[in-house]
Amino acid sequence: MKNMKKAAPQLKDIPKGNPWKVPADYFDTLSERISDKVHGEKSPEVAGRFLPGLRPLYVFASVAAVLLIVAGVYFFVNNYREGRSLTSDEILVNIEENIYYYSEETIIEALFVKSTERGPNGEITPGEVVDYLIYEDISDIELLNDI
Amino acid sequence: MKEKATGYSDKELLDIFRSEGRRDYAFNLIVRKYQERLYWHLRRILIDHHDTDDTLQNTFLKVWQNLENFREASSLFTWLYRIATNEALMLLKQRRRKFFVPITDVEKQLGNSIDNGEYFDGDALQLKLQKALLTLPEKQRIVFNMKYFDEMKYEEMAEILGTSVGALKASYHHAVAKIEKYLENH
Repeated sequence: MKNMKKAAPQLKDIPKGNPWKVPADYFDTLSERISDKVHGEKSPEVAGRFLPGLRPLYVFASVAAVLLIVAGVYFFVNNYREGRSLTSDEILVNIEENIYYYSEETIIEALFVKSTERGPNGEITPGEVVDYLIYEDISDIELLNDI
Repeated sequence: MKEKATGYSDKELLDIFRSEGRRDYAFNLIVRKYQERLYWHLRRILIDHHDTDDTLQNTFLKVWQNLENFREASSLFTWLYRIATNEALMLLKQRRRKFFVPITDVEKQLGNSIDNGEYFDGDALQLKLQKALLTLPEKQRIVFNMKYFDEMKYEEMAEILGTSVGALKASYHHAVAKIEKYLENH
């Protein structure tokens, strides 16, 4: 709390309470409305998620996507093992082109390692990497959902 | 974790869900236990009450569809937050894709929702803070909300958001610095 007072004196002065309201009785009726919604849907077992004819296509697409991810990560990690020196721009371009194939952790770890090897001119700080990843609207949770 | 609303721990709720003929009952208890916490988590991301209501209902629909396959690799609480966060991010992403709206315009729309103020009850300083939050990138805003308002542990946040504790600490630190700068200049 002392740190917060020092680092963010303005923020500290703002009341932390909840500034939002909900319509009257909203929470009293919510569980009932959720229950209605849930029972209005067919159960996943009955509804089935894919048309029967498309199922093999879906499986094929999933396998292809997983292979792409594995190949992408292998290529990325190998570049570092071989000691090839990439510039900051090259790294960012590589991430941008392959953002859908790497988890955030893989990218962060790779760049953290690299940033300790490079000089002050080519260095990407961990904070910049985090900012960049946050600004890219993708997480590994979303990636897995898309697959 | 015991909760006044239901009196059952997460483990007990899952046991009830898995017992014969009690799925509906257990699901209803889970909804009642977590509806408010998830609502406020979503509301801070989506600002608008109606968007939050839709997203919360979709979250629980997904929970219902997948609870049977939940293997407790994480806690129920973490799993629910993860689904809710994903649903909120998906909604914002869909909105941008559907209408080809740049990120800044989506944030502007969220800002307008605050200004319309149908369900905003805060004072001028709280309003300023909410506007400052909308200048942050989406995920950084979520990190800030979870740490600052929900007072969540970094370890829990890491599980929910699927990233490392170090990245979250850096993100929160940057968010605080940006908010402080905004508050100074506005």
